[in-house]
Amino acid sequence: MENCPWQGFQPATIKFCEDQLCSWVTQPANTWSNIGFVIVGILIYRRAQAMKQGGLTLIGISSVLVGVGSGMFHASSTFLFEVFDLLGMFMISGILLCFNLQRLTGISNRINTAIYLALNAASAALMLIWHPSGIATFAVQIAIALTLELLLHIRRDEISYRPFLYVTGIFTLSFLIWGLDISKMVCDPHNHILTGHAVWHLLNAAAIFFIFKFYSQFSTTKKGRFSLEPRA
Amino acid sequence: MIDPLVHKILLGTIAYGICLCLTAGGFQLYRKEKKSAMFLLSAGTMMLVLSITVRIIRSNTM
Repeated sequence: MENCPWQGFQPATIKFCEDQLCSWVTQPANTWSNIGFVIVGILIYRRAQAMKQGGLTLIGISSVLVGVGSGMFHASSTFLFEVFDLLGMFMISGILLCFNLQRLTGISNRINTAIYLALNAASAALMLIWHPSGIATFAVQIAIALTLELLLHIRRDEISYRPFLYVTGIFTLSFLIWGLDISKMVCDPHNHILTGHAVWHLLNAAAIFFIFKFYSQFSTTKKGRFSLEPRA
Repeated sequence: MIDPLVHKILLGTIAYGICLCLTAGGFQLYRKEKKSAMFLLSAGTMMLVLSITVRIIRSNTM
């Protein structure tokens, strides 16, 4: 890999099935598939603005950042852009965790924003101290968010869980495909058009859209808190 | 390729998710919330079966 464009950078801590090429785009399939996050992010942002739901625009912004960060990460296969990729993922998992925490405890927007920022900063700091920690931190945050959702479901079931079921179904399927790709159980390293990891990207873009659909049931502006009452 | 400790944390998270679904499903069944219980129990069972299947295939192919 001499004289490759990204040669001088620290390599990424994780390697997926797709072979790395010596070019500006080292993993073409894993790179192009991030377009889904950008399209879905723009769509969510515009819808949230039309609904005057300021809090929900964050889902759209995060989705675009995941798309750009992940695209750069797979194009370069460097640790620098791996950090950006994971920062976007932390923004998404942080939204789930903090939205659910607010629904469960009724804490104010200001405190919740502080928790959100602290969570993202702590996750990023942990990743800079222990480089491979990113995916583990993301998984743990998702697990906590799901636990909170389960507590909310058991406590009061007055909302539509249909979008949530779509999210969990799509995410479980995509996580299985992610595992099959990274463990090289289902893998063609020379396929630079569609890989398991590319499918993970596309499915997760769809999952983010249903996350937005789920949270659009709540008001993010009413008294600065979430409300379980249907929006007007 | 994945860091061994990260791999353990991921496996632990999956195991936690399965236990959580099955426990919550059992609890909902106890409360006679049949629809919710069936969903949680089937989700937990599906994840469990899937994990065992992947584990068996992996140990046979590695």
